[in-house]
Amino acid sequence: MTRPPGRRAALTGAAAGALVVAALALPWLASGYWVRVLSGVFMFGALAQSLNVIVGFTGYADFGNVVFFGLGAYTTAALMTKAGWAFGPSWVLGGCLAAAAAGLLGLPLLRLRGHYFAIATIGVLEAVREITSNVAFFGGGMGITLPVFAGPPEVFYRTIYYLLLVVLVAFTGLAWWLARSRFGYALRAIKADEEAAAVMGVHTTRYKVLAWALSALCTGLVGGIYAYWLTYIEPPFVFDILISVKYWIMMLLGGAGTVLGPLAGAIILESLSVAIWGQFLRGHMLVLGLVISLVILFMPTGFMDLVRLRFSPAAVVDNLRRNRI
Amino acid sequence: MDLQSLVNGILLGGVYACVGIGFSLVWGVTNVINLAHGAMITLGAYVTFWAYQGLGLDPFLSIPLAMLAMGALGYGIQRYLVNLVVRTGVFMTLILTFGVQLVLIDTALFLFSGDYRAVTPSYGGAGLDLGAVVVPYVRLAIFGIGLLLTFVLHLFMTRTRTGNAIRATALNRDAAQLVGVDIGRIYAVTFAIGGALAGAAGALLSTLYTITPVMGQPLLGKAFVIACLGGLGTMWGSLIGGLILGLAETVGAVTIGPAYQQALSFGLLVVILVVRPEGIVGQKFFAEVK
Amino acid sequence: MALLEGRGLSRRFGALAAVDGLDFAVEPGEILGVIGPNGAGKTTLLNLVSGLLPPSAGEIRFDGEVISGRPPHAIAARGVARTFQIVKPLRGLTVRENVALGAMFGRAGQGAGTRAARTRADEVLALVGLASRADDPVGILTVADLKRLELARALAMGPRLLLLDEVMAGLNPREIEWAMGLVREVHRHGMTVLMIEHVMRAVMGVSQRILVLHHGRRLALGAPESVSRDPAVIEAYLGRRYGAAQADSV
Repeated sequence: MTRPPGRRAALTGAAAGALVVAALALPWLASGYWVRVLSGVFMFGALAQSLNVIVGFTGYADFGNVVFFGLGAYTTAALMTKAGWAFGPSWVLGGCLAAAAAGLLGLPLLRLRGHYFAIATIGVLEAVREITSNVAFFGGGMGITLPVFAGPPEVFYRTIYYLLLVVLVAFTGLAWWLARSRFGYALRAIKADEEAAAVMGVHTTRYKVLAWALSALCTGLVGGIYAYWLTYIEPPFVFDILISVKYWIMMLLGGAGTVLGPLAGAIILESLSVAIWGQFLRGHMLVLGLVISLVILFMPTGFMDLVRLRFSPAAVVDNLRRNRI
Repeated sequence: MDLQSLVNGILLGGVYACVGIGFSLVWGVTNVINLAHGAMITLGAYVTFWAYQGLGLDPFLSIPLAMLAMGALGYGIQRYLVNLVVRTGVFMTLILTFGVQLVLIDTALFLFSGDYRAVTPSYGGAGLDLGAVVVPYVRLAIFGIGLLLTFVLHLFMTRTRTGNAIRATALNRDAAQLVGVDIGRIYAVTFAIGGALAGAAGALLSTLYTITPVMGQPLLGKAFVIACLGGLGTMWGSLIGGLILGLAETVGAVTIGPAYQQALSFGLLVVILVVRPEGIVGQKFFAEVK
Repeated sequence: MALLEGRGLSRRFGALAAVDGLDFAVEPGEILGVIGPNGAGKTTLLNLVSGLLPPSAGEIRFDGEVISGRPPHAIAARGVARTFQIVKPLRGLTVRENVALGAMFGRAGQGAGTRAARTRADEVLALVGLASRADDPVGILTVADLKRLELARALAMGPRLLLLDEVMAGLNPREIEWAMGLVREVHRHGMTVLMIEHVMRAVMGVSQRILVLHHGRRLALGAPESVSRDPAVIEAYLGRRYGAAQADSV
């Protein structure tokens, strides 16, 4: 009944490859609307994968992860406008700044467990948002307008599309590497039982901080692209906890700690959002809320778990029964 | 820093205590982070507005009405929705309450539109003039009611069977179940209490702030801070957490200036978490998120 | 020179001294059994040696080097591996992955890649008899198999000192025989072992020397036969009546 694991991996790889090729070709075949819709999917997929590093693999509940999104966005914007840099270096430095912030904050904060770490990250997010609103280099609360792209709109949107596709593929590749590398093993051990990991020789502090810095780097890079895309940012646009909630949900929906889960979750939720936006002008929040609730009720252990159970109804019902009180 | 600011801070603390107590209780006992808490406060405010406009009922008299309405809603949410996914862990229930929140906000929008509403009782602006300070009646009443609610909740938790069952469940769910506690019902009752407290907070806040469908959002953020400062699941913890936050914000606004108010309160939060994560009064309940 | 040495070792929790001014030494290549009534400080001793707790006073030396106060991962990298009384399997990973982790981050595996670690894991799994369960998630293992996993993980680290915390607890007589055999086998290949045990038959039958702890202090240290006849030890376990009777009969 089951295919040998080698063959299953090859099939998944082939399917993934086909999807990437399709994605590469899409801007030349479909309308601008689809290019922008898929850009959104790629962006959230990348964010969900980035979150997966610290949450899914390492087990630390970073609710405030979007602070790195904002730091990346603001650094990119500020360097391009105040210092006159080109997008490329500004973008990279934005990611690095976010990573450095995580590295510094990680030392005190990653000693906290569970709930407490989660709340601390929310605290950091809110505090950083306010500080950004008051610092002149970041434009004060007045927002920053980025330089306009030199070229026609279709080229601009296509560039954004490809940038986001590249980071999405890169971060998914990162997740694939984590699932089988020494670094990934250490993170998974930390998530499972930090004390046991320590007595086995895992330098838990070093690995946790590195994981958070890596996640921050990824999130920050996405933030930089977002700033460039929007061309105008204000603190509440990018330091918004609702963005964080959104890609948290995507990661959980798809399956935290898996390679493809966050991506699947992003595709599902973003497609739902777009479809609902299109159909229900009034009450779209209500419908979205209902849909999210229903999806959670029927997929409480994530989409990838359903895939693992091969969608067999008996297994799904059994899964549900075990999760209720 | 003058006396008036101090008084303002304490009174604001009373408001915050009301906001935080229901949230902290539910989180501490059932390990459910109720993202719909802000929306339930909002609906409590709307119920009060409806009673005020339709029935001419004074907002303070609407408190039981709001508590009843939100208590029933809370019971229903936990019993028929959240209980179904409770064992998957805190994050799934979080998403679920997020979904519920969206539904509630849109319902409020649908029923009452996005127009700003207000409840303006005749005694609204008046206060107790003590020379050096002025103590507004409304805020004083809110502070008093906050104390009363905390006290009544404390009595309920320590003197009644259900209250003791709730505390037992918070400490060790499986052990409580083994001695005969119906966990599903207890969770639903706890959420109902949390909802009722949110409703009360909404009724009280309707006298202070304009009522909009999204008024609950910033309050949710504050509820997080209050719950952690005071300690999850403790009754007096929310009071203490609320007071600390109220004082910190008021004093901060006066000394550092309003620009860094949020940074101050959240900075305070982070410091508390690193130094004393169980909060000022708390014990370790659900410290691990698994 | 002793492989592991404790001098004036103490650990306080408030007013309670779980370990109180303890001096002990474990010679290279020996099996030292540690026994004592509940609350005697045995697991605390292991937590001190493996670095999960810093001492309140005194020091611990491993191979001449001070390890007390160092973080657990550093002590593990030097060649100290331990099991836990209440087993700590890594959930979310398979049996093989659990053991491979030990192989990757223990003394023997510094810098080892995942493939080499998995190979070594398979070897160790064969040694403890878990080879058939290598791909299983740890959640479905029996208690006895979980104990085997604990042991396999520790062995995969390639340690010089193995700390066993009540490894026999929960095992039936046949499994106990098997476990004793495994400890002897590992010892034969040069391992030094410090084992905490309540199962007297096992610890007396395997150890070369026995250390008896009581209220965090050393009550007796010596060969199993002499320790089991020591009146003070009998009194600690069974009470003054039996201790006095034993003293009279000597």
